[in-house]
Amino acid sequence: MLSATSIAARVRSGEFDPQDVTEEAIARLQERDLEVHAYLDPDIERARQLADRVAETLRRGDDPGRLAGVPISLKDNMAVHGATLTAGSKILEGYRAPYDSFVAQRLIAEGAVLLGRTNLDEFAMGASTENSAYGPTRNPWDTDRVPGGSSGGSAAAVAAGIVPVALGSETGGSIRQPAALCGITGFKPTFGSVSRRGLVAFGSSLDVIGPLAAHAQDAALVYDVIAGHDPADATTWTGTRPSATTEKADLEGLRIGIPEEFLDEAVDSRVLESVSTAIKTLEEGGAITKVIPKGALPSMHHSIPVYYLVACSEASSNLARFDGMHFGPTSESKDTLDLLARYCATRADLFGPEVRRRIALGTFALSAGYADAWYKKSLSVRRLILNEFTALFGDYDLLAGPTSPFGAFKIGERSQDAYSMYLCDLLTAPACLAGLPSVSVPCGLARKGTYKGLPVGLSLTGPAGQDHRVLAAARAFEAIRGTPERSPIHGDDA
Amino acid sequence: MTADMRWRSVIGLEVHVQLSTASKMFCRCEARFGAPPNTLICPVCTSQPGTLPTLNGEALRLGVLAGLALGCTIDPSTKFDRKNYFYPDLPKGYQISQFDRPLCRDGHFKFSTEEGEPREVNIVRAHLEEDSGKIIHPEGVNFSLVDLNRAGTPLLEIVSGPDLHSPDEAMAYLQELRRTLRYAGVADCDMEKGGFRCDANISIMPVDSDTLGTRTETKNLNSFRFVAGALQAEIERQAAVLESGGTVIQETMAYDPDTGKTSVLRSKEDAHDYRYFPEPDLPEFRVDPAWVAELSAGLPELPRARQTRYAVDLGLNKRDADTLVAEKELGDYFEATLELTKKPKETANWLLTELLRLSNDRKLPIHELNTTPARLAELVNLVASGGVSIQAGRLLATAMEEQPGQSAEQLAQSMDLVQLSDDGALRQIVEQVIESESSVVERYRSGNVGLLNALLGSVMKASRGKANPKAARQLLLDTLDS
Amino acid sequence: MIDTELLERLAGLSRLGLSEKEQASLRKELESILAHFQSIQEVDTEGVEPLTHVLMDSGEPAADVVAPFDDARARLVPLSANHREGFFVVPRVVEGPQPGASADHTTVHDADPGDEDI
Repeated sequence: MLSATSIAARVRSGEFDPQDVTEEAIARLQERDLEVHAYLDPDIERARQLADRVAETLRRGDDPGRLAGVPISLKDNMAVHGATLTAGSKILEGYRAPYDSFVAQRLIAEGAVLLGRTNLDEFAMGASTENSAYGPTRNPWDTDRVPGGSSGGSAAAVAAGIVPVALGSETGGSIRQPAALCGITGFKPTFGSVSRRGLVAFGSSLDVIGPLAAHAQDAALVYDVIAGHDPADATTWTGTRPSATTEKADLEGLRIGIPEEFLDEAVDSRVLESVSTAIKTLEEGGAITKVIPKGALPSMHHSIPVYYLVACSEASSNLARFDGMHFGPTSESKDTLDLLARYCATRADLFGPEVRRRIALGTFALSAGYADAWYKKSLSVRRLILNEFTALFGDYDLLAGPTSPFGAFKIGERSQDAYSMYLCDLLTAPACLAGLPSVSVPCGLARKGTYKGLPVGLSLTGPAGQDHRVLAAARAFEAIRGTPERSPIHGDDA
Repeated sequence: MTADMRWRSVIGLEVHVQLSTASKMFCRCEARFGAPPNTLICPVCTSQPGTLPTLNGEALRLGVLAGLALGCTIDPSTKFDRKNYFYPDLPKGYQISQFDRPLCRDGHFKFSTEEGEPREVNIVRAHLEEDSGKIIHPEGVNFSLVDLNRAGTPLLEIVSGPDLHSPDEAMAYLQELRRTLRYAGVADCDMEKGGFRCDANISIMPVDSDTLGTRTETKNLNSFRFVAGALQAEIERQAAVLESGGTVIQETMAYDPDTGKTSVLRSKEDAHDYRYFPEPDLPEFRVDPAWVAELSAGLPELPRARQTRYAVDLGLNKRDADTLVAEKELGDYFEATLELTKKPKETANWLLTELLRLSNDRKLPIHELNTTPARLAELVNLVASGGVSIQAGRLLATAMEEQPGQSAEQLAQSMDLVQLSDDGALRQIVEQVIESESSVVERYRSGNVGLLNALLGSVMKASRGKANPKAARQLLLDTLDS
Repeated sequence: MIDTELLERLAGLSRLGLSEKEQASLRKELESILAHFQSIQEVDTEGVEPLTHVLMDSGEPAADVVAPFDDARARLVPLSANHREGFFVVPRVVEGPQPGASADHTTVHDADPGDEDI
């Protein structure tokens, strides 16, 4: 499949008909999604309407925008006016968003053709997309395996070659980890680079929207479109964001540190092998790499507890609005004449087990008598983690390491033990806690072992606000390494 | 012996005031009372998934102004927190409020009791928060209805220290608080529209003790009458409990205005765990001390200061000063008129009699009458200069209101109300009277000076009441003694 | 760390409506998770200010200008599963807030929604 960048260029030049491009994407979706179940709602009519709009704009002789005719899929936790918005949960079944998210507005304004709503772990809580109330998504590299999560639907849609780019959201690793497991590029911007307006909240102080793309250049292009200050999201930062598309893709002289903490014993040895090769590639590009001895990020060791305590505390409050009173379905299973019973029935019947687990954990961490030891304590450790990163960025331009400790695991392999699933975020949660921009780029397939033949991701993390530099490094890396390997489902179609 | 004689009560009040903004606290829906249900709502205040709050800057400004009027410290930054609980009028499942860093803190607020005794309460804190929606209970059905028009309108919660010692004192504090907030332009404090609501913490202790008793909280007192009734009822209930050998339990009470009694709403075992934590959707907000200083300088004269000035500097009696200060519009009207007359007592008299009468008759607020301060000043000055009599002035006041195109003087002329004060016409009448009442004049001249009044009466009669009595008297004296 | 009583309290606070069996298994899961999380208690955070926001600026309040959501009632109220005559319909709310709910509410009695111009 062509890149978003070249589709947009050819649609703008008149070489491609946006309606044809859209129909081809729809056909791919209809065929390939049978195998991967990346989509909760293909929402084909909307795609056709948007393609018609682009065609109409072209007929008028106007510029349809930087994403003219590019089919883009959105994770089903971002509001598109009139479209479904399930967040992967039964508690939003049938609900249609009464307004547009900021990112949907930006994409449509630049001529993108929104195609379908992608699957996710319920309320983005998970690392495998198995927690979706609508069934799991499968990895296009091996359909017995998970695509990662929670943006697994978006990752699988891109890896299957249905769309060149999709949006995901990340709270603790939910863009980069599925990108790594599906062999594509996934970018988590600096917290506050992209508006969260219209994103169903999970952990509000962590949630960020970002692109998943087959090519780093496309991730940069979509980032440029969706990044910006939004007065309606008080946590977006003001000021312009330098273009990640035009930033020079050059690794020459870049100081890249590899903290030993990223090479944790929990990381699979074949994953480490691929990452080591990738670091050599960075050096070939002129980067100065250095392994930073253990001790520079001592608090990173606590990232998992800190991340889960903070995110779940916020989630326990964010998810209180799902009570069946003012929107969405309500359970009729119990005596609905009683207020307390109605609350409990709706939330018991319509939330899945992982969501309930996290609400309970967050409620505990915030509750009287425990908040100091758990919620507040985790926030103090969070500051230590931020401080340690800040100190490292005095000496390094970027930090590198594996994105995920392991490759795509089997469906069911980790879903029985909550904590083993939580370990998926081991290497991604730290940058989330510190709000840093971080990209996962595909760096080849594991040669041997459990994850043989499955993709491995290299993570590059930069200082806050340096999103454009992080993406430029990803582009440079891809330029040297060459086009990433494609999944069997994607195949070699142009 | 009533409870008040054996027990000393300790009262602290929490007052929720709706701030006078055009839009809601965290979305730009209109903040207005009385619209059809659920017409002033949007995705944000109905808590649709993915929506985010944006702080209304005017709510912040009004909160600071209120804090300044209450003598509070305003810290250079403030933040918001979430208070988590489920209730059908709270669509998010949490209320955005302020927990550990209120916008305003540590204030001192002065007021006077009904008897004029000065008092001071500590204002522990005043913080911003959003209001909830309204629940309606239709008769004869098994469901309730929710209207979210009010959800998200800005409130300031003002928490006093436990510094009040009787229902009367509490009432006097509330009256002064309400009037002060209205003067500061912060809030209408319209109780009928729920713009001023009160919760009361009450405990009692023996008059000879200094150990605080266990307190209860009485919720949702939405009129001054309810506050007084509820405080009295709760004090009496606690006294009865203690006098029968029981103990007061820390619990939340409700007041039933129909029975005049308080009853338990929930016990302490049901105490909430609100799980406050910093609102992650809102950053900290700077409250620039220079801006606060500017707001402080722009604060209008507050009612207590104005009242003192009226009574002490202007020499008005307490009742008039009280009345003028009760509503800011009336005081402002007075100020504007006084500027043009420089006669405080006369201005107050005309304002509080004729203008209030016109305002009542016409069912118009005083500042909507045709009689502006400038026109009232014309009238006051005309009477004071002797141009018309006081009686004529009253007729003139009504005429001026009815004929806004005519000046006081023009109307006095056309209504033939001008007093005869000048030498010409008045001298003629005086001379006529002296001539026609020669016998009285003779008796006067022979020493019966008391007859001057009889002669004056004749002059008034001959002038058909238009003679200026003072001028006429002087002229009579001059003529008789010459 | 989490006994049955605490779990019951948490489930109540968050309106999770768990059966006894669910409570028992959730209790065990939380115990196991918190055992893994216990390590943060060893971190010396003396004098470390909790980090609540990783923001690059402080907030800019919005102007107080009304921007209505057009046709609000027709677009928003029907998103609820239970509504009538422009109101959200909820189970009968017992007089006064229930335990676990706030008390900062006004209730209007005996209103007749039938009179509203809808």
